[in-house]
Amino acid sequence: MKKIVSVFTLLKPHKRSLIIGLVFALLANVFDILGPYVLKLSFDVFQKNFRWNDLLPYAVLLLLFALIRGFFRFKMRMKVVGVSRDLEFDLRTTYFDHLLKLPSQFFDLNKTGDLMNRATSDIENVRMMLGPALMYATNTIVIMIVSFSVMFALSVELTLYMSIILPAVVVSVGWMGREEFLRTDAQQESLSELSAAVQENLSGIRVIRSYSLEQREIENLEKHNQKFFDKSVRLLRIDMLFTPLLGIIFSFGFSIILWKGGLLVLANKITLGTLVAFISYLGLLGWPMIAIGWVANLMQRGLASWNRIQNILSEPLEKEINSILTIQNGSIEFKNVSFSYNNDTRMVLKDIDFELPAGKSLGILGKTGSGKTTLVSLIPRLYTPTEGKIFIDGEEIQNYSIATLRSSIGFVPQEAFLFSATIAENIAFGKSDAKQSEIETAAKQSLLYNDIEQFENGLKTLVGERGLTLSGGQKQRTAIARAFLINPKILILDDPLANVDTETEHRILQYLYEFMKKRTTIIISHRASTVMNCDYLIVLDHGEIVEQGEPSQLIREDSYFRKLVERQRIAEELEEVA
Amino acid sequence: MSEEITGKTFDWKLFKRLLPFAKPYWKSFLIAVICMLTGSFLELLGPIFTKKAIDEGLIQKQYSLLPLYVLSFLVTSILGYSLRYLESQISGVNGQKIIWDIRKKVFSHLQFQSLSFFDRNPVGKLMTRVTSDISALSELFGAGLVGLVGDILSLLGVLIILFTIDWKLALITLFIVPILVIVSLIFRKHMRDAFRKMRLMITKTNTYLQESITGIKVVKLFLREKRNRMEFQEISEQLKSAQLKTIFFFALFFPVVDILISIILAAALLTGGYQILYGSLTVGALVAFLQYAERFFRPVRDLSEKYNILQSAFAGAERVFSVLDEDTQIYISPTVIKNVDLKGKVNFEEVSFFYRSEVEVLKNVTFQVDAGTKVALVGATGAGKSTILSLLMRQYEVQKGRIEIDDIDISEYDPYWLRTQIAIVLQDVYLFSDTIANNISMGRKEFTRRDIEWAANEIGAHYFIERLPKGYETVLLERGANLSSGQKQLIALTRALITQPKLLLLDEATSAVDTETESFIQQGLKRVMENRTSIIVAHRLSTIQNVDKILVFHKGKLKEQGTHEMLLALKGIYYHLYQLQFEDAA
Repeated sequence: MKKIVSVFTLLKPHKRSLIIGLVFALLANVFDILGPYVLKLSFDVFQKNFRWNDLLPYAVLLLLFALIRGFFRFKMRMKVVGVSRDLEFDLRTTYFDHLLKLPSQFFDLNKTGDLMNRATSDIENVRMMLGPALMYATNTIVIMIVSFSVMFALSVELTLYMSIILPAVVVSVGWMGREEFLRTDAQQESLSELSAAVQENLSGIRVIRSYSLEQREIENLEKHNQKFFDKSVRLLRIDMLFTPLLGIIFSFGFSIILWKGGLLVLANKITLGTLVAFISYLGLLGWPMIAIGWVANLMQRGLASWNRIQNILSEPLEKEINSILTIQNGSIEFKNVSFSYNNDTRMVLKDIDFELPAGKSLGILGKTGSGKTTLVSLIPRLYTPTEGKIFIDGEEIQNYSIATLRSSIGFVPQEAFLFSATIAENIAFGKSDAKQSEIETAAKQSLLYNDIEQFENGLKTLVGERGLTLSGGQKQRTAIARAFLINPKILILDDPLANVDTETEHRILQYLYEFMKKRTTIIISHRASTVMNCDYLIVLDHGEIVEQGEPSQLIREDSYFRKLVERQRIAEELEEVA
Repeated sequence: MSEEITGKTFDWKLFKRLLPFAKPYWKSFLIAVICMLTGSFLELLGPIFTKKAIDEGLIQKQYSLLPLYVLSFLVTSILGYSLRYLESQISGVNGQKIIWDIRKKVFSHLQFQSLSFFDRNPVGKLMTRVTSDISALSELFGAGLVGLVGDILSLLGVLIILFTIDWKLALITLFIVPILVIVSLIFRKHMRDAFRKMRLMITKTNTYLQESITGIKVVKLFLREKRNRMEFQEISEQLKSAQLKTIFFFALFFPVVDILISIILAAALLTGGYQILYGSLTVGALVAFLQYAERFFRPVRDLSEKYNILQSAFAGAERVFSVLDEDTQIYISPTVIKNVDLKGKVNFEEVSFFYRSEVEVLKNVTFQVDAGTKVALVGATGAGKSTILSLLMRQYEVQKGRIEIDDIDISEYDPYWLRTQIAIVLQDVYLFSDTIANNISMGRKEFTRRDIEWAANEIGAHYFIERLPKGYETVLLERGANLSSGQKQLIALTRALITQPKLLLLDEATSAVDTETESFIQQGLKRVMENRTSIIVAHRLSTIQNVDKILVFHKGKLKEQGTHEMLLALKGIYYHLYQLQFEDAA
């Protein structure tokens, strides 16, 4: 029952509005019951001799009650559904907040489509549970309490007969509730899978196009469609059973009352009037009985969804501490650092050990998959080392607050990610209050400015999702400008010039060396030319440092670096003679 | 696809467009309607049996009739509920089948759109169309349509009864109908607008969320959590106020209808009473009339309850159709050429191209690539090299000039067949969350495991794949997150190689791979490129050692072409590029 407790804590901030809303619901219901009663009373007038004037008050009452219950109903909806929207808002922003605070590893393991689905249909289900379902539950409870107390007053015996069906109601609601819960979960699961499939298809549309795989993709989606259909129909079987099954149970109850009550009338134990009144109140119970099913239904769905949201909300957050330590110089030290992803036994980094004094630069070379990107991801604590320690300015990086740490690091990732925003906003991503002039400077330093000038809207040009309208090189330069703008103590470039042509690379490097002078820099590259001017070099192979030293020193040894330089030189010589 | 609120389209138009989707299921719809009507009829019988049980059984003391009526009541209500359940199952399954059909249609439609469509429409937006917008239609097609037919039929039935009881009273009752219609129309307009605004905000919210998740590492590295949170809060706030607006109209509509109906009931009561006094109407008739009048308005009230479903369904439909209406499928000539043996000769004749009526990306480009030769495209970023590859794949249509393969305009080929003849390796390697083997074969059954391993071996990917815990059966995370970019690149190359294409297009394919891996690939490619036309976009000169011709692009124009020596001797742009590369390494 822990789930229910935690879900209702969501309601706490809105307790007042909700109670007011439910009071409105109560009043609306009272006038709802009174409306038909007025009509009945007016029929009684016809039974006697009457004047036309006698009818007037009833006609006025009829209108008056419609106005009053309309008013309450309006208020009730505004309040209760309004609260449910507030809750939805709270839930969505809480969910988003939480996502932002989760460690990077979480996002490697969870599909975007799935995370999206929790933010959409699951939140909607929880909203339905805490808003409309609660409203109908109140209606039901009010009517049931009123009816049962009146019925009890009319005839204890008949009320007892009536309660024969209660176990049947309890058992079937319980059973259907459980089934509903399981089947909703299964349906949502397959919807998540479907969303993930669509998402992957749309993101990879270029590849699909290139291989003419459209037909296969359509067939693939059909599998997900089929599964979603199956799960939806399975849910439908139980979902739609609530009303008829409870209706039938209720009919049994009604029949028992009619039969037993009839016998009691015949035995003169109760009057016919009592039986008729009893039956009319019983009739009032019919709808709420059915509504129980509906409410239980929404509750189960809501709980299943809440469970799925809760799974995310209970994911441990990225560890953050309050620390006043600041990074002054930016020296970096790795001490026996090893790392593996997600408790995988395979070590991606093994016993990495090096020191990089403040203001110096380090080039990292190594084959594809040798752990270069992983190594630099550890510094801004995107991942935490499995073993060993990393120090900045002699202090373990865990002792800095994440904000201090990351604001001191300008990081240019391998794949430049641009957001659907203007180029200026993308450059100022790490410093949203940056002045126009600062943005321009950063764009000039990364040699993006000339390209931008050619766009009609300049820096205000919108780039599509993931910056589709920019070329690979332009995207990378935007990412470089982004890192420059925050004026970091430490600069980390993960193969930043891979998509840039030689001429641009040459010119960017000139700016880069200027920029690097006052900062500690780590550059990953697969070109000797890029790291030639670094103070130190590291060569990684299968997660281990196999070579380290100054370029001038390494080039004298029989090293990977030397081979790399030689290979490049041979290539160039070849071209020279070609 | 417009996100703007138009408010012009009538529901009816949308409804007419939606109906064809329901058509294949009309038989089961009919059965559902019959079930529903029979069910409702049986429900009406219930009170009659109760009445008879009291009147005949208890008042007239015909004891033996009591159990009979009780039993009749029980049987009819069980039957009635069962029929209702049956109806709900048939309608529900129909609804699910229809949204399946619609989803398939939209998804298929998306598959064949030109890339410019995807440049304009973010993935998040399209996702919403394929998932939640379509789901909104399920209720309309499920319970909604059958309910609508049922409502209309019962309205007609009750109306006939009203007229048989007293035509004057019936006319008074009908008097309110036009007012109800006008009120509904006014509300409908407001509600439509409000709902559309709400769905627009939902899309915005989802797009933002989606981007924040995909770009989470950048968000973290640049400490954007706080600001993203604020921005998201702002968007969510807007969504909420759009939602609250829908509640307002919805909450107001029901009471207004209720009051209108009460006015009529009151009027009928007074007029009827008057008629009774003058003897032109019996009491029983008035009581029956009022009860039936209530019944007449019940569907109208229900209708307002169903408005929510209906509105979101129509708003969803409108947006789904807006996707279907934006058709950017490339033109396929009726006499398409396919299944011919391509030689691989490529001609560009005065080709000009721009993406979105902005700057021309290619200006009057003319060149020829002979069958079986290798050509390198060289130039600064943004010179238009990648665009040439996209045009060859017919991802976009050229605005001016001709592109020919084997001296035939590419628009005369079946584009889907043509693409199977061309292999392309893009800058951004896209991998699916599937096994490595499937990522290489792209799920095409004609490639056996041997083919896959052969291709991987040729490229030099076999070595690292075998070292993975599950080898070729290793399932990749979304976007291949568990591989390095070099490894991704190798898989992309293997993927291209396995098809044994007639035309090989490489877009900076080897740039993210270390030199040693690169030499692996170079060897593999060298063999693949033999007797195969290859067009390579390259930045580094090492890549283009073996090409037959180099095309040098600058700002969308073809500036120089020729062999390496020729171009060097020219002392032009190429020479300049070459010098720079030489300086760096020195």
